[in-house]
Amino acid sequence: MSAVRFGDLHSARESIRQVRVLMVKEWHQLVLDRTLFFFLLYIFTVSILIAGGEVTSELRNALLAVRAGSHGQAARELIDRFRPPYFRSAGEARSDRHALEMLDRGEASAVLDVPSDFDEILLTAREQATVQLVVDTSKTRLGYLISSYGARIAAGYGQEWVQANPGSRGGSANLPGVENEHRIWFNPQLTAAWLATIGEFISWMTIACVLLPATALVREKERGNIEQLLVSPLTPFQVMLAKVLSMQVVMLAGTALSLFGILQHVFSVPANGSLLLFFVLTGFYTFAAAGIGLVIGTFARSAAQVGMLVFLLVLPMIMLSGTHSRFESMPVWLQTVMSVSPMHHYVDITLGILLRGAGLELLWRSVAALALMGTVLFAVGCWRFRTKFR
Amino acid sequence: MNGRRIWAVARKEFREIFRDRFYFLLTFALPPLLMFVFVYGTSQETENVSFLVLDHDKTQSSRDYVYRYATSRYFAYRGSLTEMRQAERALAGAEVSFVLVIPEGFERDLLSDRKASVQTLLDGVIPAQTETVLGYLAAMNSTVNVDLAEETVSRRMGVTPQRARVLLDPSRLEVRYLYNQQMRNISGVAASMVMFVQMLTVPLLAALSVVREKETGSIYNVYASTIGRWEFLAGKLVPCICISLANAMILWAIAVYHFEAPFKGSLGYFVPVTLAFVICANGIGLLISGLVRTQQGALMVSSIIAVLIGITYSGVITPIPMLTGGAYVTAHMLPAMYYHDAVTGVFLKGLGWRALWRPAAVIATYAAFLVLVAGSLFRKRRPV
Repeated sequence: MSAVRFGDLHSARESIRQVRVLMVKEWHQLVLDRTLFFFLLYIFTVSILIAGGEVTSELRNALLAVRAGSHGQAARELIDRFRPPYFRSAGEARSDRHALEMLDRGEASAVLDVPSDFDEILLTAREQATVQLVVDTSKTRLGYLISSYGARIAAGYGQEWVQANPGSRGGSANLPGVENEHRIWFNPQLTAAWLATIGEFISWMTIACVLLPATALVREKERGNIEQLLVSPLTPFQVMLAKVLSMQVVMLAGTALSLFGILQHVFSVPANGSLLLFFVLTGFYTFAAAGIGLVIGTFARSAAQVGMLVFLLVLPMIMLSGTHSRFESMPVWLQTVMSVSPMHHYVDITLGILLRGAGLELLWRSVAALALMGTVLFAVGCWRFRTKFR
Repeated sequence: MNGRRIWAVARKEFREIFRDRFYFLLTFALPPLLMFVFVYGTSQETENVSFLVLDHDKTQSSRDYVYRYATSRYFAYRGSLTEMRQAERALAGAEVSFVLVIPEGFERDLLSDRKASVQTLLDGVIPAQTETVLGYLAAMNSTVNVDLAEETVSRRMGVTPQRARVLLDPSRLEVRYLYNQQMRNISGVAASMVMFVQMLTVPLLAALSVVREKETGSIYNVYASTIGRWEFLAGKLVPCICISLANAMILWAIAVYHFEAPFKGSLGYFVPVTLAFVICANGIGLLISGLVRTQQGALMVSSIIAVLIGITYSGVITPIPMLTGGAYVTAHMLPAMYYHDAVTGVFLKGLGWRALWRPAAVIATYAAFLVLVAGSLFRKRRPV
């Protein structure tokens, strides 16, 4: 650590120059390493295009079979409401056994069974006319969406029927009731691509930020370059700082490419808050993530171990930081565990700035947590590095 | 193909894995850990949706209305506000999921048999969640309305409340859940994760085991030896397949015994199909090892492939029918979707060879194809 004696101005300036030279070397390496270059290009562009291209939070194209039978006009009207884009016809089920077979083989995801006396019950109002929807719930999310949309369609049909036939319901025109009007903020059309693309961007950036310093360190170890580093006029600290800083610059450039080139240009993701704040905090975040990578890199002895450790730490962070699942509905113990994940706070910050238009006065808690974690992780990474490569 | 040579490579490989204790531990610790975290983290029903109330009416009726939300298990009441500015701040700061605004005159409208209006301001940042909350709100509102109207109609027409309910709500949808009767999210998720976790971990192992030799240069021993490329690859694959299959069975046991996901089918179907899928995933790993030279490269490429095949195009997160055009076709061209169908089928539907021979056949064909392609890409003497 002799080169970072800040009392000595000349050597401090010299050491900064050395770091700068090392950074340029890292960039040269990056451009020459074709796999790495394409990986970075992929994660900041193509992966986001793919992630945003196919998502929807609405039910779409669920295969619905209708149990065959003699249907009156009202029954047919109800069946017709199970229509595209939400449902797609899978034909008629001739018998209960046939219906079950269709569900077994996945030829239908649900079977709608309207009784043949549906019209009659509706007209005489002797009881509630019951329609049955048998739903395949082996794929839970699809099953949930089908039953929820089905219930909404059936309820809507019943209400409209009452309004269309007020006579049979004895002056039900002036009834007390509550009308609930929805205003959806920050994403009025509920465009699923916004969250999906932001989530993809954050996930891949996290993987890259953790993976690259960790593998770089281990590669030096495996190849024995460490000996060379130790006899060179550079201190290990300078080598590490150059690696992290050069990567940070690359990540910020990638962030700009994703944000302006893909998120805003292709998917019209808004930026309601301050972009300057967003980039500054992204810089913070890359420091925190690189800290994790450094710690992993000093512990692991081979690239295989790095891979395992990165997957072990980063995949849970990605799945549980609030873009794939809702944070509030996770078990409390898991929320506590995940609150030490820097990614969780970065997700809050990114969604806050870009979509909710929040500023520092609302995000200060996440910002403070991120800053604290970044400092601690990076400090631990440096300390591990120094004790390891002294 | 010489059995002794294959066995020699396999033995060396086994020994290498066992010697690196830490790595050995990780290969067995990673899949179960991911399984636990993912199942606990993603299987929860949306409950306790937090909300705030801005009540301008401040009457008995408006309090009753709020009380119904506050006592529902789907919603979690977080307090009252006095002005709109606070609502804006709470939503922008992501403190709550929605704010319920009750305007003045709410009680007056209800008592004079008119429609009273309220407003819900929702946070739309997580669209899937907002969709669910909209469903809860619609259900809650229609219950309130039927209750309110039921009383009025039974009074006006002189009928029992039950009768009034039939008149007001003439039709009913009865939903029957098949295969997963209690709609236990955890069962479905646990079954899906058996596929997902394998897809994330298996190709990585296989790819690294070959690329490591390339990067350290020990592959030249192989190039110079009499061993054939198919023998070498077979020897490489045997340990990977053994470990992956053991892991798959551990995942199966966790799903069945810990998460109590019903396993209604037979192991006679599950084990062979899983073996085919494991070979398939290893084949993907071998293919990756042919494309890259460094372990860092192998890590990067296998993480991309794992995410694409295991998440984007497998149906675990976005159900297959909801994928659009190109994505729908891509999903059908990749193996994960078929294995996902096979696993959920054998777990929850209790199906076997008769109903699920098709996904099994696709996976087996895929496995053979991948291993053949990866094998022919591997050259013993590579131009430098």
